[in-house]
Amino acid sequence: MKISESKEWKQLTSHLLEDIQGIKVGELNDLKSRFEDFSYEFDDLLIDFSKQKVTSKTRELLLSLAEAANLKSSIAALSEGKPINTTENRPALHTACRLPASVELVVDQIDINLAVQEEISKIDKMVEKLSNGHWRGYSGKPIRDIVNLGVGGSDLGPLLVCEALDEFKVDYPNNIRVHFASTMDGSQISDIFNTLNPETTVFVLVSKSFSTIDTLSNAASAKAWLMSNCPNEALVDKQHFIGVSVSAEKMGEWGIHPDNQLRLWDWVGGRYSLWSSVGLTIAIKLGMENFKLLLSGAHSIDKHFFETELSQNLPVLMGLIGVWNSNFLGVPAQAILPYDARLKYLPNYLMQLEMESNGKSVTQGGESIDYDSCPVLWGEVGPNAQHAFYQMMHQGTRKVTSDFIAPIRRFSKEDSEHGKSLQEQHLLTLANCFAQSRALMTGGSLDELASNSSEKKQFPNPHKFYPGDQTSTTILIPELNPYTLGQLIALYEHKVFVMATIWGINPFDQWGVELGKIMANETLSELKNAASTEKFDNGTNTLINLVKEGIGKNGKGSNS
Amino acid sequence: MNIIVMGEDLNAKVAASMLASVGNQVWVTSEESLLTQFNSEPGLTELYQRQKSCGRIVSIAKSELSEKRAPAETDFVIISETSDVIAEIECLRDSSCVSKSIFVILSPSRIGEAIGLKQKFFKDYEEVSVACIPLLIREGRALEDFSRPENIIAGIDDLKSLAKVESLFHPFNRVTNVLKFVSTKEAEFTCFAGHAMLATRLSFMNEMASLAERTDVDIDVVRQCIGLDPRIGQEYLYPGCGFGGKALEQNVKRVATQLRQRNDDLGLLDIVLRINDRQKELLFRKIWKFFNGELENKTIAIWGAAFKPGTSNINDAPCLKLIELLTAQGALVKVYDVQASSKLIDYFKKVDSVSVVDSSLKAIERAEVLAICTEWKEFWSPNYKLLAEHLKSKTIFDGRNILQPQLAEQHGLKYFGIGRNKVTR
Repeated sequence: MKISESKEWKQLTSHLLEDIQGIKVGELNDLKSRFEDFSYEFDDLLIDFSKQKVTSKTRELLLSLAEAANLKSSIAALSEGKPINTTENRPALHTACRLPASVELVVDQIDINLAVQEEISKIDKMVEKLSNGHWRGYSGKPIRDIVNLGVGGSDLGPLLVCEALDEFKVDYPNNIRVHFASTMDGSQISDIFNTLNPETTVFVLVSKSFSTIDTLSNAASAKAWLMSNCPNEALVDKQHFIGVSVSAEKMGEWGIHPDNQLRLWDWVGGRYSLWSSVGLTIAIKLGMENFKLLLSGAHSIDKHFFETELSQNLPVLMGLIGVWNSNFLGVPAQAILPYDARLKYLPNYLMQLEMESNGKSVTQGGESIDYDSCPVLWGEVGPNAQHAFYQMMHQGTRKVTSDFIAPIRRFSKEDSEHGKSLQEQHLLTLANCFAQSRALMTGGSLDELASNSSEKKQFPNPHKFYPGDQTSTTILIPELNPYTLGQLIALYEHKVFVMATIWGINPFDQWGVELGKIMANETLSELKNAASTEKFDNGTNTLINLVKEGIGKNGKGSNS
Repeated sequence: MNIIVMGEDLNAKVAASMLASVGNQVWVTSEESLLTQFNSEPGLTELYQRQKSCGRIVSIAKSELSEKRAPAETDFVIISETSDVIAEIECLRDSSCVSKSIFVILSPSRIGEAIGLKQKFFKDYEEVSVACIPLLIREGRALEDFSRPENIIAGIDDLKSLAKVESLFHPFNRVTNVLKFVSTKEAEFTCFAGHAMLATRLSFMNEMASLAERTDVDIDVVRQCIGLDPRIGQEYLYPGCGFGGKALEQNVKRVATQLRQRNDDLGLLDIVLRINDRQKELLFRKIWKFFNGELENKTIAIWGAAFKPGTSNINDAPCLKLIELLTAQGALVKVYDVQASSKLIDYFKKVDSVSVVDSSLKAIERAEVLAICTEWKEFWSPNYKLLAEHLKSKTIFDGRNILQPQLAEQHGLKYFGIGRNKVTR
C-alpha cells in the first residue's frame, strides 16, 4: 500500500482542510508557549520549528504517519547494516564510519568497525608523513600542496568541511595547502597547473568506482603534467598520487602504489562519504584530532537518531515537517540559508544530499508514486541571498520554506578594536537572520512600518506590501567547530532518510545520473568523428556539427 | 678585580679562565657545567683547571648569592646569556656586594636588553650599570679570540663605566687600542646586524651555487674570483649544506622577527633563513634523486656532524637534518665525526638506524654513498682509491666543497658538490 493511501495520510489531509487552511503561520506564533512547544535541543544544538505551519495536532498526526511508514524499524535497519539499499542490494553504513574505535558493529558476522579503524589509522599515517615533511616529491622536496580530484560526493563533502573549518587548519611547518578540482572541463585543473609546483604537489584521486570520467580525465591531465617534469612514471605514481576507491584492482591498474591506496566500501554512498577515506583532505588540512571531532559530532547525532523516541528525535521531526511542507502544504521549494559565510558550500552540499537522495518517483518496490518527493532545494549565505533571491520569497508567487542556520558565538575571543567591531558584525548578522525569518512569516506593509502605527491603511501601496506566511526552521549551533559541523551534516543526512522512508523510496541509489553518462559517450564519438553527424535529433546534430566547424577557428576577442 | 661569571656556555668558560689568568679573582655560578663541557676547545680546560687550582676561580652556588655571601665589592658580573641566569640575577638584586657593579652581557638576545635589565632589577641602584659587550668568540679558537681580539665593541650607557671597562680589558688591549665605546643599544644592534650580514652572505652564495648548478659553472671558481674584489673580500663566501650553531641562526631569527613586525618589511632575512633551511635539505635531495626515491635499507656514510670544524657542538647542525630525513625514508646511516661522537650517540640513542662510528674508514665500510657535512681537515684529502673500493654506488656528496672533483672522478667516483655538480675539468 502506498503511504498516500494510508489512514494517517488521509487524516493529515483532513487536518489540513479543517484546521490549517486559512491560518497564517504568524497567527500560530501569537501563542506565548509557541517556542517552548516547538523548539528542541540536543547537546547545545537548538532547532526551532515555531515558524513552521504546524500545530500540536499536526505533529501528532505526522508521528502517526511515521509509525504507519514503519520509520522505527527502518531506522533500526539502517543502524544495523541491513541491506536497505534494495536496488543495489547493500546496506548504507555511513554511520559506521564515525563509530568510536571501541565499538563493535557486526554485519554478516564481521565486525566492520575493524576495517573502518584500519583505514583511519592509514589516514593517520599519511597525514603524519605529509605534515612532518617526510612525504617527498620526485625531486626530494617536501610536499606542500594536496589536490583533491573528485566530483559529487567525492568533492562536495571534503570541500564543505575544509572551507567551513578553515580557521581550524593545522599550521604545519611546511605550510600544506589543500585544493579541489572537480569539473571535467579542465578549467580548475589547468589553474592548478598554472599555480602549483609539480615537485611538491600530491593528487588525491577520489572515486568510489574509480571509473568516474570527470575525475579520471582530470587525473590523466595531472599525470601528464607531472610526467612532463619527471619522466620516471613509477616515481611519479609513488610520490604524487593517492587513490581512494572501493576497487583496489582499478586503482592498481591506474598506477596507484599499493601503499597509497585507501579503501572505501560499497556500503558507503558517495554523498555520505566524507566521514570515510574520502575525507583524507579534511584530515590533512584540519589534522587528525579535528577530523575525529568531526566524526564524533556526527556520531552523537547517530546515537540520538537511533536511540531517541520519534517524538523527541530531531532528524525525525525535521523530516516529518519536510514531508508536511512538501505533500500537504504544497511548498515546492526549500532554501538553505546559513548566516555564516564559512558555510557557503553547505547549500551546494545539501543540494546533492537531498536531491540526489530523494529526487525519485518510484517506491523501493518500483511502483510510481502519486505524491511529490524532494522539493527543489537551493540556497546561499543568508546575508548575500538577501540581496539576491529574498525578493522572490517576500513578494513572489511561490511558496518557499527556509532553513536559517547560525552560530550563537562568533569572534567571541577577539579583544582587539577590530575584533570588537567583528563582534558587532556578528550581532548585525544574527539580527538579520531573525528579522528575515520573522518578516517572511508576518509580512506587512512598508507604509505601516514607516508610520510606526498599527492602524491599517485603506489602500496600502501594493509594491510595498508583503503577504508573509512563508515558513522556516531556525537551527542554532553554539559555535562552528568540527564537532558541531559533524552534527549539522549528520542531522541533514538522517532527515533525508526519514523523508525517504515516509515516501517509501530508496535514498541511497542514483540511477538518474546514468542515462546522461551513456549518451555522453555516444556524443563524444560523434564529436571526434570528422564527418558531420545525423545520428541524433535535429537540434543535437546541429549543435555537434556547429562545434566541428568552429573548433579550430579564432573568434572575436580571442586570446589564443 | 672581583668578578662573578654567570652562565654555562663557552663564553662563560672562556671569560672566567681568561679573566682569572690575568690576575682577577673570579667566582663562577655554574662550575659543574664549565668543568664538564668544552673540553675539546684547544687549551681551554687546562687553563680553567690551572686557575681553579691556584684559587683564582672559585665556585659560588646560587643560594650563596642570595644569602649575601657574594664576594664583597664585586666589580663586574659577566652574564653570558641573560635568559639562562635570570634566577641568579634575581638573587643578587638586593645584595650590597653588587651595589657598584657593572653587569656585562656577552650575548644579547634583543635590542634594549641592557637598559631593560637595569630597569627591571636595579632601578633604585644608581651606581649599578649594565653594559653589553658582544665578544666575537669562535669555537675552536676561543682563547685566541678573547686574548687578542680584533675589536671590542663596548656598549655602555654612562660615562663612569668607561674607565672600569677599559681596565677590565686592559690586558687584552695592548698592541693597538681596539676598544670602541658605543651605547648598549648600538652594541646589541651591531651584534645582530653582524650575524644577519654574515648569514645573508652565506645564503646569497648558496643561491649563486644553485644557479651555478643549472649553468654548468663551478661555484668554487666564482667564489675565489669575487673574493678578490676588495669591496667583497674572501670571508663567508663558502656555499655549503647550510650554516648551523646556536648564535648565528638564533640571532638572525631574532632580527627577522623584529623586522617582520614592521609593515614594510619585504622579508629579506626570512628568505635568508629559508635558503638556509633549503641548504640543510640539499644533500638529502641530491641523494634522493640519485636513488630515485628508493632509500629503504640503503646505507649512507656521513663524515662530519659538528656545525663547524674545531668543535663538538652539533646544535642545529645540517647533519642532524640530513640524518633525520634519510632515516625517515628507511635509510641506514653510519656517521663519523672527529669530536662530536659522544653528542651524536646521545642525540641518536633512540634511533636504531643510526650508528656512530669512530673512524672515517668504518663509516664507509659497506656503505652505498658518502656525504660530507663538516669540513674537518682530515677529510680534505681522503684516500680516493679506498673510497672507490668501499662505496657500493661509488658516489660522494660533498656538502662543503672540500674535495677535488677531478681526483674523485679519476678514481671512478661520481662527485656531487654544492654548486659544482656538472663540472668536469
